[in-house]
Amino acid sequence: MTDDDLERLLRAAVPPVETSGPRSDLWPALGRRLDAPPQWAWIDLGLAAAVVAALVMFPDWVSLLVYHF
Amino acid sequence: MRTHPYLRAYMAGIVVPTILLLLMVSVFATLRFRAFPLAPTPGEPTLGTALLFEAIGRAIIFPMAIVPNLWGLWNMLYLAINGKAKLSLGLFGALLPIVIVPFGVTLVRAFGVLRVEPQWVIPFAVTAMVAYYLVWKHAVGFLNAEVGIG
Repeated sequence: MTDDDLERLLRAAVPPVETSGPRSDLWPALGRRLDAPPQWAWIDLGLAAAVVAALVMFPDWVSLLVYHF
Repeated sequence: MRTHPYLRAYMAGIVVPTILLLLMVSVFATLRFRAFPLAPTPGEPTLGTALLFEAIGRAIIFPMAIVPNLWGLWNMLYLAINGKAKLSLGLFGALLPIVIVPFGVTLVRAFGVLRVEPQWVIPFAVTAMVAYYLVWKHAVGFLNAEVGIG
């Protein structure tokens, strides 16, 4: 029996290992997500709308709010 | 290499109020010197307007000097406690009006430049906290990331 025969027998006897890991490297995608600036979530838009509504209801607060920036 | 993270935090923190101050002073200067130059006009009283602008000129020291420095110091404080307190930058920035609003409202009332009713203080402070949350989360967070401390 030659080495090639032995290798063929081994390959036939042992099933190939099925890898369940990711097909690509996920680290660059994770790094991009960590580096990305925070996105405007629905809660942020709701809070911004609440601030605008408060300033519409109380126009005197506009100059007062600007004074605090 | 020394990276001076606190210096970068201070500089990132003062950007937003400094830019807004530029707009505010431009509006004030336009009103003061162009729209209402306070030149004596026959038949029109100008003393009240002059006194109002004088009061605004004094009161503007708050947004001009105190607010930007507090923002810078607050950002430095966030950098210092970032590892210890699990608080997002937006929420940390939303706490700043607790310090700033009483100070600002006191000055506004002392100079009499803006109308402030006592019952407004708490709801206005909440509104300011929400506005600060959004600005700190998105604007200061962006600046911090740009200078490498975000």
